[in-house]
Amino acid sequence: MIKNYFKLTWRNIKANKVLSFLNILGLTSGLFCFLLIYLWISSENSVNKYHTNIDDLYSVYLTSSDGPGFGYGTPSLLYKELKEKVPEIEGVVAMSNNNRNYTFSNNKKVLKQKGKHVSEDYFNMFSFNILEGNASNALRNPNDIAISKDMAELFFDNVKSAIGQTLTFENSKALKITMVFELGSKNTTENSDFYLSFDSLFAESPWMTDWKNLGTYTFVQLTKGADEKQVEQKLKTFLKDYESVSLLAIELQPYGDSYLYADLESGSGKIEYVRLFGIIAFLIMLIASINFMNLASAGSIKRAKEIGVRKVLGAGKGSLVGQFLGEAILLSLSSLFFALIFIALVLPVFNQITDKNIDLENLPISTWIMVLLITLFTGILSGSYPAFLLSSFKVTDIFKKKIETSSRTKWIRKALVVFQFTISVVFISCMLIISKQIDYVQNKDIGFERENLLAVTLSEDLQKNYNAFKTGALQISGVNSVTKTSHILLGDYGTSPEVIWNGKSDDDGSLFTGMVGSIDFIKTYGAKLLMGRDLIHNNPDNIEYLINESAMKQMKMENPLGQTISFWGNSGTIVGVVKDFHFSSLKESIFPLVIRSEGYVEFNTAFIKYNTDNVQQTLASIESLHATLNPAFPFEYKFMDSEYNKLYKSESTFYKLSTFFSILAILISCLGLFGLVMFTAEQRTKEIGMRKVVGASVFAITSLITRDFIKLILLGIAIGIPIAWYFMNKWLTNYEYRIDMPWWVFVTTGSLIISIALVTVSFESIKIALVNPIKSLKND
Amino acid sequence: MIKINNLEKYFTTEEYKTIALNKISFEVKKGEFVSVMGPSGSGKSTLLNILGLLDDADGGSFIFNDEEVINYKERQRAHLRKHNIGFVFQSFNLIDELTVFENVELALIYTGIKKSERKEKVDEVLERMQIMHRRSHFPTQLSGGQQQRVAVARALVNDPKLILADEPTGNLDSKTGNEVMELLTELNNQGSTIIMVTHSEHDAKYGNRIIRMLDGEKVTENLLSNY
Repeated sequence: MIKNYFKLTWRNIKANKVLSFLNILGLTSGLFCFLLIYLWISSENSVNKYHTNIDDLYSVYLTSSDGPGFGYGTPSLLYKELKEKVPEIEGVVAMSNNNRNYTFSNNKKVLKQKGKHVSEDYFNMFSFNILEGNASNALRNPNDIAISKDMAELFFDNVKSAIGQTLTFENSKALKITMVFELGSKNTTENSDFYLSFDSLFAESPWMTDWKNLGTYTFVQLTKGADEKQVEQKLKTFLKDYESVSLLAIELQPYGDSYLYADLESGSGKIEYVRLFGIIAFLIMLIASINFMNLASAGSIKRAKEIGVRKVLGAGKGSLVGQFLGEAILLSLSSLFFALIFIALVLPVFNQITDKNIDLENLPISTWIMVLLITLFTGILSGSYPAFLLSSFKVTDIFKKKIETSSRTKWIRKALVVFQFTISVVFISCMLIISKQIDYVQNKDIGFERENLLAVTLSEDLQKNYNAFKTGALQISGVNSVTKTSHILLGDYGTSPEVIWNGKSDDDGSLFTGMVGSIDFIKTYGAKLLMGRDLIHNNPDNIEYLINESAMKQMKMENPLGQTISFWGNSGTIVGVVKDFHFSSLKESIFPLVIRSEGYVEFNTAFIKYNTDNVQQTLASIESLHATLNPAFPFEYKFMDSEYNKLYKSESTFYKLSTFFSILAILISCLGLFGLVMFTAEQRTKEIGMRKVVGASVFAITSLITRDFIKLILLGIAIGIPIAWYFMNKWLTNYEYRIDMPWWVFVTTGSLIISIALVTVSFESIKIALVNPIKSLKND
Repeated sequence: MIKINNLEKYFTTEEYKTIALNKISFEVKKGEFVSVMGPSGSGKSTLLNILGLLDDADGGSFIFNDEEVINYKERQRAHLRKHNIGFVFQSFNLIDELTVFENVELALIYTGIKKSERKEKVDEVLERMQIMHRRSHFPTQLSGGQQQRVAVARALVNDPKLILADEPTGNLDSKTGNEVMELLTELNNQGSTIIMVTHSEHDAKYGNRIIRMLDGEKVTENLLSNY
C-alpha cells in the first residue's frame, strides 16, 4: 500500500509539473527560512552555555535603590568580600572591563592582542581547553599570563614551546606564559587572546580600591545545591555596611542568561530578536503550508476521480487521509532536501551577517532530530486540510462532478489567501519602518560631530608624549584639532553615585557617568556649549569640569558656572555646560555626565578632528607621527562614525534578515496565488469560453478573473496595516529617540503588494483569456 | 441476494425537495442479470448508488445477502463494498497515474491480499479480459473498449458477488459496446449477479429482466425470454 502511495505521489508530481513545482518551491522556501532561523535561534540560545558549571554560574549586577541604575559594573574589591563572607559561594571571579587591545612583542614580532584581567578562580569556574600549563595556578604571580592557542602560534613555533617564555607587554614589562588555552566553544561571547592576573591590575590602579568605582565585573559560582533565591535575598542587603555603596543591592543573573537578557532594567535584550525571529519563522512556515493547502485543495478536482475510485474499491476515510498526509510529508521531505542544499549555500553569508559560526556538519544530533520533526510537522500541517477535505468527498458527488460547488471550501481557500497577504503586508511594512528608524538613528544629529573624527589608541609611551603628539598632529595640514579622553564617547560606561556638589542631600544616590577629558574637548568633539567655555587647563591643581544639561538638572543648579564639584574625590570648578549629546545608543536617554580635566585615570584615546581633503594623506601622516613617537606600538585607530553605526548592529542585522525573509514571504504568497489563479481559470474554462463566444474581450476576461483575487488582497492589506502599525508603534517605543510612524510606508506596501499580485494574476488570466473559445468549450 | 422495499431518496436544496426514489421495491436473485432503464432523472443512477452502498437512502429497507444494510455506518459499507461488489462505470474511472496492472491491483490492495497473491489474481483476470498485453500501459494509452475491459477486470478481480454497471457502453462505439455487453453476459453465465443501468434498449436486452423507471418510481418490470 505504502509503495502504491509512493508510486502515485511520484507520478502525480510528474503529471502535474507546474503544481508540483509550485508546491515544492513554496515548501522549500518555507523550510529554508524556518530552518535557517531555527539554527540561528538554537545558536543564540546556547551562547555561553557550554561551561561545565553553567547551572551554578551567575553574573553579579547592581541595582540602585533610588534613581536609575542597573549594571554589571561592581566594586573591584567585591569578589574578595563575597568569597570570604558568603558560604554558599564556592568561587568568585573579578574581571576587568578593559577588554581592549594591548601591544605584545618578543624578538620576532610586535602585535596587538585583545584581553583582560581575571582573578584566580577564573579557569576553574569557566570551561577552557587547557593545552599547556595548569588552570589552578596559571595566574598566581602578577606577571603571569595565559594566552590562547592562536596567540601562542603567532609568537612561537608551536603551543608547547610557548610555555615558560616571556612576552613584553605594552613595551614595559615582561610577562611569563604559564598557560595556553583554547576557548571551550566557538559559541561564546568570550574573545580574549590572553588573560592577565587581576592582582597585577590592582597593583597598578589605586582607584580600584575605591568601593565607589564600579568598573569591575564579578561572577560567582554557587555551591552545588545552594538555594539561589536564598542567596539572592542575602546579597540584596550585602552592601548595606559598605558606606559609600550602601544604597546599592547585589543581584544575581544566571550566567547563561547574560547574553540574551543583558538589558537588566527591562529584563530583556537580544531575547527580543530571538522571539521576533521565532514568530517570523513560524509565520513564514504557515504561509508556505497555506500555499500547499490551497494548491492541494484547489487541485483536488483533478484528484477527485482517484478518490472516488478508491472509495468505491473500499478505501476508508482513514486510509485516504493517511495517503494524502503521506504525500504531503513526502513532499516536505523532498523540500527539506532542497532547503538544506540552499542553507548550505547561504550559510557562509548568513554567518557573516549574523556574526555566527553555524556549521551544518557539526550540528548536534538533537538539532537534526528537531529539523526532521519540524519537516514532518510541516508536512502534517500542510497536508491536513487537503487530506480531510479530499477524503470527505462523497463518491456520488465526485461522479456527478459536484464537488467544486462547495462554498465552504471556496470560503476557506479565500480566507487562507487573505491571511497570507495579511502576513506579507505586516512583514513588508515592518521592514520599511525598521529601515527608516535605522536610517534615522544612523543619521541623527547626536549632539557631537562623529564624522571625520578619528580615535587613536594612546599606548603608554604616547600617553607620556601626548603633548608632542598633539603638537605634531596639529602641524599636519588635514588636522583641525586634537584632544584626549579616558573613554571613547560611545557605548556603555560605568556609573557612579560619587559626584558631590554643594547642597547635595545625604540620601541623594543619583548616578552619574564620569569621564576625563582634556583641552580642546568641545572643539574636537563638536559638542555645543550652552554656557561657559571649553577645557583649557590640564593642571592637577586647577581641575576644571564640564557637565551636560542632564547633570545640571540632576544637581538642580541654575547657574553652575564657577561652582565647585568633586568626582571621585577630585574637586574642581565647573567651567562649562554642554548641550546634551548622545554618548550611548539612542535607545537610552541621555545620562547625567561630568567631564573632568585631570585625574589619575589614564587617557587611553586621543581624538583627532580632520577635514575631508585628502584623508588618505592625513592618515598616513598621523601614522608616521605615531611611529616616530611610539615606535614600539602598532598604530591603532577607529573612525567614530563607523563605531557609532556598530551600536545598531543588532538592528542592522535584523533589518537585513527581515528584508530577506519579507521578500521570501511575498514570493511564497505569490506562488500560491499563481497556483490558485491557474485552478480558478481551469474551473471557469467553460464560462470563459461562453463569454468569449458572446463577445467578451481579452481585457474583460482578464479583469473578470483578476477582480476576485484583487479583492482578497485588498482585504489582506486592510487587515495587515493596522497590525503592522500596532507592532511597529510598540517597537519604536524601545527608542528614546524615534521616527514618527510614516504613513507613506503603508501606501507603499499596499501599492507594492497589489502590483506584485496583479502581475502574478494577470500572467495566468491573460493566457486563459487568449485561448480559443472552441477549445475551452470542447474541453468541458 | 438483494431485496429492497419501499426505498426512498430525496434531494433537498434550500427551496426544493426533489424525490429521486419514491418507495421503490424489487428483488434480485443470485445469478440474475437485471437491466434498469429510464429517461434521465428517473432515479436509476441514484438507485444504483444506493445498491452499491455509495449513497444513503432516506427510508425503506435494503437487504443484502439476508442482512439489513440500510443503516450501515461508512466503515461497514466500505467493508461490505470491497468484499462483495464490483463497479463498472460509463466513464471507466481508471486512475490515469496507475498502469493497467496497478489499477486492477488497487481493488485487491484495499482487501489486504498479499502481494504475490495479488499478482496472480490480477494476471489471471487480465488474461481473462484479453488485456494482458497491455498490463504495463497507462489508461490514456488505451482505446475506450480496452479501458472498459480494464474497468471490468478491476470489478471482477475480487470475485464479487454482485457487479453494478452504470451505462457501461455509454462512452463506446457500438461495436466495442457490443463486445463489452458480450463480456458481461459471459460473466453472468459464469454465475455473477449483474445489475446494469442503461439508456439503451439494445443493451438492456442482454439481461434477463428489465426494470423501467420514471420519476423515481418503478413503472414496469419485464421478464425477458432469455431467462
